[in-house]
Amino acid sequence: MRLASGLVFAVMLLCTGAVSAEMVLNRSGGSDPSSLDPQRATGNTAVPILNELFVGLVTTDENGKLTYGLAASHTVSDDGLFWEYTLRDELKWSDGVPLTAEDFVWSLRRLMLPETASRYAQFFYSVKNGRPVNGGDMPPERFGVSAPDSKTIRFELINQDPLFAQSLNSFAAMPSPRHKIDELGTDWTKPGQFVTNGAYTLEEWVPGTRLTLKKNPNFYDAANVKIDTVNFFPTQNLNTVFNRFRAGELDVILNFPPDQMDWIKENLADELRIAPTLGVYYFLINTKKPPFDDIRVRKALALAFDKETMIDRLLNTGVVPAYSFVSPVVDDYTVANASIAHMPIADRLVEAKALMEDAGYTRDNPLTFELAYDTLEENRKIAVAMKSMWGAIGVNAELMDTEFRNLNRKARTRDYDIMRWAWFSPFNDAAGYLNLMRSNDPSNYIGFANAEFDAIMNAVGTISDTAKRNKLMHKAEQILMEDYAMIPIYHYVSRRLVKTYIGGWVGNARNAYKARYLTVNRPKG
Amino acid sequence: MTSFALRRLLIAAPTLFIIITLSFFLMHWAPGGPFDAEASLEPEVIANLQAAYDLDKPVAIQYGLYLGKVLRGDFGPSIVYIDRTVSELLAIGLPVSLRLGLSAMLLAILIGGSFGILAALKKNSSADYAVMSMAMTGIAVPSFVMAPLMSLIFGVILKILPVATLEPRGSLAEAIPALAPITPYIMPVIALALPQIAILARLTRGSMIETLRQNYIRTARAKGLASRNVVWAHALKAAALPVVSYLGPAVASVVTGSIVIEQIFQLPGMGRFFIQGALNRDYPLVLGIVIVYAVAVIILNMIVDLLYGVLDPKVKRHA
Repeated sequence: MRLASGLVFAVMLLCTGAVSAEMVLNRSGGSDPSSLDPQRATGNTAVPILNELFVGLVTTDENGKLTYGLAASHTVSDDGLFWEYTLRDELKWSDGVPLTAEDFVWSLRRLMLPETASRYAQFFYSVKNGRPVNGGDMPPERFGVSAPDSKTIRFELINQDPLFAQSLNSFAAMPSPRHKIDELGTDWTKPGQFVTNGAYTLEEWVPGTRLTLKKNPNFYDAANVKIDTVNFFPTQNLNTVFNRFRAGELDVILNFPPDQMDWIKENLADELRIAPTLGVYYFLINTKKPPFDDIRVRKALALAFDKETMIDRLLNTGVVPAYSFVSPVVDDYTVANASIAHMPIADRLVEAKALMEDAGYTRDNPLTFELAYDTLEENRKIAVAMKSMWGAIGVNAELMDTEFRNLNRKARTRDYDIMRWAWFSPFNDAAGYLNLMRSNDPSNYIGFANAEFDAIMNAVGTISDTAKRNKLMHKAEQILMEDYAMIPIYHYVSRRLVKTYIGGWVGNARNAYKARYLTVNRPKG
Repeated sequence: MTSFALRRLLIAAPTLFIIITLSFFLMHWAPGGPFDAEASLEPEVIANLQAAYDLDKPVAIQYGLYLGKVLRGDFGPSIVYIDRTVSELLAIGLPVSLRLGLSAMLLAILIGGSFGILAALKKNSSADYAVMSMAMTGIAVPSFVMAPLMSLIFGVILKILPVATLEPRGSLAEAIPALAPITPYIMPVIALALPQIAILARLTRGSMIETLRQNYIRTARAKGLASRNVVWAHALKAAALPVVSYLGPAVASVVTGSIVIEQIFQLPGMGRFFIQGALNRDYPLVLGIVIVYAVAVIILNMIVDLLYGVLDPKVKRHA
């Protein structure tokens, strides 16, 4: 009898063992992805999901560094204008159909078609005929991408582009299964018929509830993929996300309410993962509008705002005070901090007052302007701190709380005095930031215009030598920072909560945490 | 009665038209557009995007095109959820929101009504005070406070119910599998119903006390009718009138309340799509949801009016 029950017990153990052997990762996702079609998707929430489903010529490794994806090797011509990628052997789509260089050519032409209406098409304007094809002035066949044979993809650029390899890591440059799209049209992304080429395929998508991915046995590196199922739960409300993590419904969450930081440090210290990112939180100054065209006023405002105290007392979120535009984590680059960075605050206030008086502003004749930010508790805190610190030098900032879309409009139409802004560089490279400040860049909302800065950035665009580029860009950033045309506040960090049983999690600036590199050893019971 | 219903339906059409028109222009006048992202887009890219959603045409033409489409039952493509049409999103959101809203209303009527009657019958007793203090709390504590609190206690600490999502989790679903499918709805429905329970309890109590003082009730009692008969057969029908007339506004506040509740419990209802749509200037999605909300409120208000006619002979005669 005892033997029999022992046997039954052993069998039960085996059964539960077999069940729990399936590795499942439950993670949060900001909101539903806009689309699962690589050429049509947009926005940040699509990135982690598309990165599990598709792989391009290049991808990121377990440390978030750029590495080969579907490509096995590549060559660049001496003049830097011809890039040739050679595919790995025996590549297949998840339905077993062979994946060839023609699939890439077809997908990239599709990206550039006007009717695809992709926002990311502009990343490939450096490829020959990119702009006219996207504008509908040329047939897609004229786009500078070709497949000399079934394993080679050849790009022809109009000028040197040191960031081209990083552009290819964008989901927009991942191949789509032409054979499925021809057959099903826009319905091809629906579960059941969706075909991918990455580590996972789509099992189910219930909008607003769950997106389930299953391991793709036809993935080229399937042997090293440990997690069988990945569930993304779209959850926008930070308190809900946090509660779901605490209740064990989620293993990984991408953010939590900032006011929980102290509690988390005390109770969930092992699960808290803070890593630097490629983002900067800053305030734009409308330098085209008096009196902000006066560097004395701009510098005085920068001097009088004590961001260290503000961050320390009000934010408590692990962010790093910023005196540069470029994030300190950009590879091989030394940031150029504004020269006021190391001045004691008392001296800064003295100089700020003197500068304001010089510019004609006193307590009796105070500078009054609008300080705009989008509705979010943290933005409000920072703006209130600025207002009160600027009060010390007799400046009167009137707070303007508005919606994010309206803030965007204000920036674009330069309908502001000073306003909150943020930038996340699409590239791990200083040019991903500094290019924004070229006098003719459409994203240069502050009106900064400096001939020397422009000359450097234009030169850098065609230099491939990393050390040389970075030295030049450091110089450019110095020019920018000494002009005080913006007020950098802090460099963003990513704040994740990751259960201790998740293996392979490496914090990285690129924010790439792919399930194919992770493991889940969930405790039993 | 039928002519009354028909007349209400006739008024509903212009009401709906005004709502669509107002929402359409308000939405387009709101500053910032759907393609205002952080990085500037090249002119070619913006032109392609606007053409894809008819936004390159003058607003008046867009309005005409939109009305034409709506009349054919086509709400257009969503700008935020590129792979889906607005109709597909409504098909996902509407059942969730309906289930949530109707359950909350039913719960509010049942519990609020019974508590109100109980309090009225035991006027100035400890039961009355208990019900009334609970009702005051229910009215005073907004659902955006109550909902996270409930989710913290029953989801995170006690782990009885799922914190969010439509998936059954927690010890209740494990203990009684038959209840598993409804577990995700328990907290949202209660959170949504609580303020209405409170208001309905107070209304019922007041109106019941008032009715019980009437002469015909006294006559009924004098004839020696059992107290139960007096309350259920005679008093309740008259006492229900002010309560029923509140059901119209109650439906409207459940609809608005569900937007908050769906956000907190992450239910894929229309409220969540509405917020996403409004913040991202997804014009077709927001308009589609506004139309559905408007139709729902109009229909439910009509039902309440018809119910009023059933309960009050005077209304029937006027109609």
